[in-house]
Amino acid sequence: MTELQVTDAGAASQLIGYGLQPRLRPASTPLYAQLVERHQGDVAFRDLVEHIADGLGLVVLDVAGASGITLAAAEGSPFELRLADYRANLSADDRLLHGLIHVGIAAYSYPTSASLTDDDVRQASVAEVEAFIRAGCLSLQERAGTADPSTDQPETEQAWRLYLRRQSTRDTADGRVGISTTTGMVKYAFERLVSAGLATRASDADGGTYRLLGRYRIGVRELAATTAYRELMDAIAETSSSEAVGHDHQTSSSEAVGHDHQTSSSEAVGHEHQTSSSEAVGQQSSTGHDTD
Amino acid sequence: MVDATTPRLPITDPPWVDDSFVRRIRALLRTGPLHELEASKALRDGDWSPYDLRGLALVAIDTVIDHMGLEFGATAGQVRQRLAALAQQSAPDRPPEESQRVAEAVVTGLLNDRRRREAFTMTYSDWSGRSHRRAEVAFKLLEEIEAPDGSIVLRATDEAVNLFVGALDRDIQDAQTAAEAILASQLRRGRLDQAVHTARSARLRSIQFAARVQRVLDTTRHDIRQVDWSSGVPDLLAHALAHIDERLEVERHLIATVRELFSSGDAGPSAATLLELIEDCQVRHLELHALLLSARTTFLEEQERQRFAVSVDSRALELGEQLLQPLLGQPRMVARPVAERFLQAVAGPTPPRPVRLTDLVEVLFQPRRGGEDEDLADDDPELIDLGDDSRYPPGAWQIADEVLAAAEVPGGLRLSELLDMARRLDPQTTELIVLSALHAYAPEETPPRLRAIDDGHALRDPEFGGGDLLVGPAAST
Repeated sequence: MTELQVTDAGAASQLIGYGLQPRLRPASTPLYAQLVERHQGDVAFRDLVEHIADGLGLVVLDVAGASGITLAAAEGSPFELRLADYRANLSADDRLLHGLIHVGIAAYSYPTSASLTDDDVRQASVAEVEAFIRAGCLSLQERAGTADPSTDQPETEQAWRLYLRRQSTRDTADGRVGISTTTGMVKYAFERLVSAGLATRASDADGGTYRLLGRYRIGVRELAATTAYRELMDAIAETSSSEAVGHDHQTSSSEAVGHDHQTSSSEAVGHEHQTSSSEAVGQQSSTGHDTD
Repeated sequence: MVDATTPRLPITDPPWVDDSFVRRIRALLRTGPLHELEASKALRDGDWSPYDLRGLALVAIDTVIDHMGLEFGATAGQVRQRLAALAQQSAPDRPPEESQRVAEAVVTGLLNDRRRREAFTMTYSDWSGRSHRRAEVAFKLLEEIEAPDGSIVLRATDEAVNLFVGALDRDIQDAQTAAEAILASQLRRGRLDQAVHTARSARLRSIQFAARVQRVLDTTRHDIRQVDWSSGVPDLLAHALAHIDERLEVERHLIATVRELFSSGDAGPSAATLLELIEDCQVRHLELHALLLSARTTFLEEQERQRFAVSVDSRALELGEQLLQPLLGQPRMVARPVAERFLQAVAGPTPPRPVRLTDLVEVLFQPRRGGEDEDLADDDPELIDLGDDSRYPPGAWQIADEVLAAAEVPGGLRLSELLDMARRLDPQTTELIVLSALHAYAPEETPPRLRAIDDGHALRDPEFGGGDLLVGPAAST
């Protein structure tokens, strides 16, 4: 292990700087390639990179020879995407729909847990993703039967009702996709991924077909899916603990996560991989399970 | 009577139910997607009977493997192009768009796009245990991967390489040894065309081997727990290393033999191809050799690095069942923060941008959207024709343009001079001239046509006040 010099801080920061320009590749930037190589071989340098990233509010998700360094913003960091920057003037409903659509893109592109660890490039189209989420909503509608949600408390209405109410397409005079339709939102989500260097456009088929790059998969696997899952489990646990005073039965966690086979698979997440204390998904999932 | 005399076959330990049976049936199943592709012709739009989709699929795999190395390869577009040309040959009277569609169908079929690029799954009967069971084999044929330069290329899986080479029930190490033994004997008998063919399969074997080791190392870097470093991998590496040493020796010998053929004048045109192939093979072995030598270090380093890594493991997370569906079933207030969090996390780090005034103005001028009642207005057209709302008649614009064009001389003209000209032509255009001059003072379009500078002269004018700007062509001022 080599002793670090002051100039190494510059090199480490430079590597992080490259990570903030996701379209750059080590193969086309010799210094980048050099720094990635150093990161892989030099433990002290690796620590330095991680500490600098941490100080900036960034998390190093992955460093690989081909794709370079993959970073994510820590919660509350100045690098975190502000929803107002995602799209201006979003209503609360819009924010929910845009978020759901991003979950939908990931779930459609990586149908199994194994596909999250493969290294091949997955492909998805706007029409496919829209239909996929809609089908998920329709199956929930079928299960819910004809019971109408209470209208006096819109916030207790389930998310699928909101999605189904939104039209998938709408005729516009110039034949473009309406921006507030779900199809328009899916398209927008993909385009954002393209401009963030996480996806590339493959063709115009099916309302736009996109290839999702390794960086995107790493982000979903290492951060987005886990964080969202943990928060969901927390939220469900909280909701069901205040269930006694609640009035809407459908908010109970058993309804939402489902007893059938999902309980066992969420348990598997916990037991198989995480026995350590702090951040375990398992903890959350078993909490969710216990309160059922 | 016949029944009584016909001897029964013994049913215990049937000779055909052994390891080889399972291997062979699994090999057979891997050709399934090609047959399914062929069978799907009937369902296609139009008559596809002239096209041999199975054959095209094999060509596709062939092409992909030909371009495959440790990295880089053929793109889906290149493969499609080649297939389309071949399809066109088999049906010359059909429109070229159709051969494009045929090529597209073959490539998407091999990628299993219909099933979101998941593995093909086929079931079979397995009698190798004490009783019958239904077993499933899952495999891929082609995959798209990211090349280091960012391009997206096709890669053939080990299964596809086996399918292509036709050595369906062989260990890759044995297969390689066999291929080279055949090659050497062919060389001795002077059958060079045959030898080129054999050398080509030997090269495929090298590629396949390298890919396997590369994958183990990649997985190790990512998550050491997913790799069996206690016995499986060290065995693989040790075998591979011994194997490569041996191969390098054999290939050196082969090259010497071919060179000899050259010098004795016995070599035909295929000898050069053969020599090239074997040399390429050798290069690949040497690359793999370097990879293998670094493997142990990689393992030790990653073990050190990942020992303290506490990661929440999402590897067992089924996104559809465990995240999307539960989220859709939640009340808005519960689902919203989770969905937003996912969006923020997946978007990647977003460097904060300093606010620019022009952006701000744009934002402020955007119509307010959203609100809880947005759905009600959803069907309204977004654009309404309010009639002609332009402030100045078209004639005024034309005159203003003419006047401003006069300023496009070296040195430019004073705003007061321009105003005089405008008043003579049409007094209504003076306001437009002033606004244009102001615009030229801080132009927004790139490149600007005009440029205005304020050199301190005051404007003396009955209508307007301020500086008597000097307006001239953008390039000269």
